[in-house]
Amino acid sequence: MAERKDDSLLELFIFETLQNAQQLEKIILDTGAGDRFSEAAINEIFRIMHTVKGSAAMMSYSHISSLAHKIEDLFFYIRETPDAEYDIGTVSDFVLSFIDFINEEIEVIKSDGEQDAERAEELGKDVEKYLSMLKNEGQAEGAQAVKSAEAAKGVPAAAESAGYKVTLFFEDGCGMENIRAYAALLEIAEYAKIVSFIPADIEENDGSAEEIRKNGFTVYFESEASYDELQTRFENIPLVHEVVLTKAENEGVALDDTAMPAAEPDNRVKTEAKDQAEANTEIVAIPQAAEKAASQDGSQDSRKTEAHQPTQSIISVHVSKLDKLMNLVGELVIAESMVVENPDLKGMQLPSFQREAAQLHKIVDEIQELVMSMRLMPLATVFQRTNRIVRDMSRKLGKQVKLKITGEETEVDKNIIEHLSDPILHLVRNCVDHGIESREERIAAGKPEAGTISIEAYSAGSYVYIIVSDDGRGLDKQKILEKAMRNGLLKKSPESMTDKEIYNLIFLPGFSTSETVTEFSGRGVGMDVVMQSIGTIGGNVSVDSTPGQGTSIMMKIPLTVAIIDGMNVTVGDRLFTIPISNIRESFKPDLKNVFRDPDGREMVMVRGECYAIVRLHEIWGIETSVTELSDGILVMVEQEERRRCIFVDSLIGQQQVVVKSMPELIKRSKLAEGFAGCTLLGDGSISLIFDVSWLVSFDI
Amino acid sequence: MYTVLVVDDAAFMRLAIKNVLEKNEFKVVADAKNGVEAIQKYIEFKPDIVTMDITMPDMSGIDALKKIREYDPNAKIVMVSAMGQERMVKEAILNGAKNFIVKPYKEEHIVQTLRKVAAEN
Repeated sequence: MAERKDDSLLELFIFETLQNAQQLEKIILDTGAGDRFSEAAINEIFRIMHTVKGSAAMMSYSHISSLAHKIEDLFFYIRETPDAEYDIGTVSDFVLSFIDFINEEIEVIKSDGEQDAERAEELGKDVEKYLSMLKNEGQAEGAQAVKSAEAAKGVPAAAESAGYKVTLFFEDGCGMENIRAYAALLEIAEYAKIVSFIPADIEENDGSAEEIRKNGFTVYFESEASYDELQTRFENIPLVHEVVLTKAENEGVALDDTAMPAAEPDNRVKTEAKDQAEANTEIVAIPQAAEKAASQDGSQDSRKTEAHQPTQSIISVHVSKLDKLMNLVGELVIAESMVVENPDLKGMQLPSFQREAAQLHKIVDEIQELVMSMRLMPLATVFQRTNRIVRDMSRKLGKQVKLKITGEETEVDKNIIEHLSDPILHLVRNCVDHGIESREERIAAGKPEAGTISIEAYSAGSYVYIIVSDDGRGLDKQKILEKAMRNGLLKKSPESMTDKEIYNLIFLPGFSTSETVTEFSGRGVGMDVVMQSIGTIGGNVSVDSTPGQGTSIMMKIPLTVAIIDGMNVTVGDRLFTIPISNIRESFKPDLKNVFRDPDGREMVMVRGECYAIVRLHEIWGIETSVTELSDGILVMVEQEERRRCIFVDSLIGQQQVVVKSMPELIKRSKLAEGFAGCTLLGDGSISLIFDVSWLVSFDI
Repeated sequence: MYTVLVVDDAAFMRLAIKNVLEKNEFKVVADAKNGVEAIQKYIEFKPDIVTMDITMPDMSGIDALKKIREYDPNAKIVMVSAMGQERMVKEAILNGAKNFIVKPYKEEHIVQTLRKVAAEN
């Protein structure tokens, strides 16, 4: 199993382990300020640790598994010792460090890197130390009693004179040999009279497993069955690897008294020490006696975890399959229009064909919608991680911060989620670090002591809006302007800029570098990175702020990136697609309003505002008969509040297009500059999709 | 060919066990992720053998074991446990579990165990 880590298994391991880590984190953070974990939380943590331990061991990640095991032990102790005096902060820190460790190790596993066994060991030792400290405090006496009891037991005097003697050896590495021996004993008891067995403390002392591994498990018993029959029976016990059966010399010696030499000390243990391990020490070689122990165990085990997992009819599907399906549906959409708009059909009267085509279109549309909805995931996965950041940072910075999350059930495409996580975490970090003032400052400003950060998400149309805001000090316009000026980012005179324009400066690449974090009291650390990641998924970011009252940053994100609404346009014999979401308007320019600015750039005036004109045929050297503005059409595009008018020959029409990324070779060359991808149109021709953010920002 | 119901709350373990079994003469006819499901699936599929995880949400493997054995006293259930669960395994055996395997198990161990348990009368 371990040698051959097949991929799907590994992926599932990673997936589930991360999920478990996330759930753990949620439990810890939900537990919050109390001084004890709830019973449900303990059970759940215990269960998760147990699962992680088992899975990791199966994958031979022994360091993860052993660390999980140690934390499991700790929670076992906490669970079984209701009055254990543990410090919830310390225990929470252990679990959180474990989660961090898991997250990092999974990254390592994914990238086939070096695993950090040392760290696991260190953390493990800390956990062990803490546990033994807890135990020492709680039950120094109890532990002592157990020890002396164990010492008193020893190996019972073996009764050599039984009818038979059998020694069973179990398979190497089968585990829990003492319990195996116990199971075998129960079975033997069905057809034989057990006289005695070695080691005798298989039930209560798990250390006896070691002895059985070495010397086997020996049972003396009396039976009427024949030697051969017995031999077969023993061989049929699962995982028995060797059976040494001998017929004893002195048959029939009554040995019932010596059969249970361990009984006495065991009972003593039970009365003297209430150690967790001893809760089950009812003695037995024979089932009837054990029934009692079982019912005891039962009551302890049947405490169910409260966290209900509703029985759900959900299956998990690999993302690559969904990606493929999405692609195929894209192809299907194209194929459909290739058939329906086939040039061969031009001019033909085909009423029944048209009717069926409409039906086909309806179905294809529905499939497309369904596939898209299958890829949606709630934002909760991203939002939840902010809890941790706020907790950690506010602790470190000594600020009080409340986090309010709304709309975490809002769903977006899986691909988009991946791009959202970093920007959101970044924004939240900024809020805690720079936005929220220190306690003293807040009190002086007459604000509540604890700052509030809210994260809000909602969807409208084919967009999702995510707003991260705080009630902190707000952005400092003056400082932003100074900084922008120093870095040469100001294109306009400061006086002519609106507040919004000034705030938007923080998104410019090069506006801030990490060294300015401390001196710049406002915001803007790496905001260009936020802008960039949101930009890659076709969204945009805007900021609003009121001095003294806070800042809010709004991200507008498309639900999906794979299929967009596009406007197809022509320039010469080329086809291009402009994302509809970027188009403000299109119009035939009035030549009266066209002029050149002092740098010789062609501009057009629309309702009192001037926009630069981008002549596509000139940029890409496309031959076209339409070179006069009056012959073509201007399309005003917008990205991040920057607008330009692009000049095209004509508009063909609006349609949904499936975005395909450019071939790798082209992507690497400069040729791809200005394009976000390409798409196949109904007639099989290729159309390039504009990257509007480039169109509005390149140097004319 | 024996039919098997695999019960484990971790999809990972379910797949791991299934992979091993299906390389041998076993057919995994159903799986379940908690005790409640296990009982339903047992009644529905009547498998020859059940592999039963112990620690699961909603209903533990031991409770499920008891319920299944109530429904079918001849049910052959093999517990899947981990180090540290000695008590529970013991309890399971007292309640009629046929045998058990310990995670991390060796492939041949699980196969041998199930084989022998399946062959029992």
